[in-house]
Amino acid sequence: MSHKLTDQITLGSTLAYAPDVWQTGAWGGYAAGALSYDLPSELLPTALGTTLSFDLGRSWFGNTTSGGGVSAAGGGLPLPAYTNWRAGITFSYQVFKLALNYTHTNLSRENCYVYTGDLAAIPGGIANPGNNPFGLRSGLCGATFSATLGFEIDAQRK
Amino acid sequence: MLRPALLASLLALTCAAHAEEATDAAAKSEDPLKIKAGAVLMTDYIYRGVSYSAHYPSVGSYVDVQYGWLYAWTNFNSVKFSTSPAVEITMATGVRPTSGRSSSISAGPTTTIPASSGRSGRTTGKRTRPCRTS
Repeated sequence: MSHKLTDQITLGSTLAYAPDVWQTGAWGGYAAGALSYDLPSELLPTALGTTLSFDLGRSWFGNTTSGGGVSAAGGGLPLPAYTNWRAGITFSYQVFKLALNYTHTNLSRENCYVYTGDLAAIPGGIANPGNNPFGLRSGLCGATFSATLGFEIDAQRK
Repeated sequence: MLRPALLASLLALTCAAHAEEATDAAAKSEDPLKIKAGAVLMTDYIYRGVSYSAHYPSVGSYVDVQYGWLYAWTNFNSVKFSTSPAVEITMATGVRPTSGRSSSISAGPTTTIPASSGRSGRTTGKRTRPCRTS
């Protein structure tokens, strides 16, 4: 859902549910809020739009079934709940958009392995006999700077 | 521009039925069919804080079709999971009502398919993304 508070400020929210996350048997829920601010056009070159944005989300999960990984005690593996956030700036020019983003989560490297099952995980972390007995660590959930460049064609006549 | 003959007939019937109402002329003549398509290059495909491309570059494309409140979209993204699927396909459909120019809601189920098996070492088959309610 999105709502424009003013011509420049937009609030957004997301609520999602999955009965089976990554076919592990675990259900998943997700809630997030977003805030964006369109810089005034007077400050920018003609036809260039610039938007600052920030997202904050929370994911939580049930236990996996035996097919999705079984804890040492049996009965399913609780996937780790986590918080994620993103801050970014987007430049828009005609049909093109360039976005620069910083993203991060509060997952430890060990819990990142538990969540993703990353086969490229490396040992040496803190062992958890229940879900990560070898202390495997994954780098898929850490702080990341990324860029995207895209275009969109809108076929509706305005 | 896409403008099916049936759409033109539906617009004519709608205008006749509500001729006595005070409505915005631009809204009445707005084409309810909207189609968007695009593509994106990413240095890293991040979804809810997790890299789906193992911090490698990724490419994606999408098509979004909306008719009135109803919408359907699909997108394709290159991913790099431990199980080596070639591409991730996401599909969604639902309703997307708009209140004036300031508010909109989209709600409907979404499903995601990797080209091969899912989460590494533990499952096989289809990976399902959360059902989105916005």
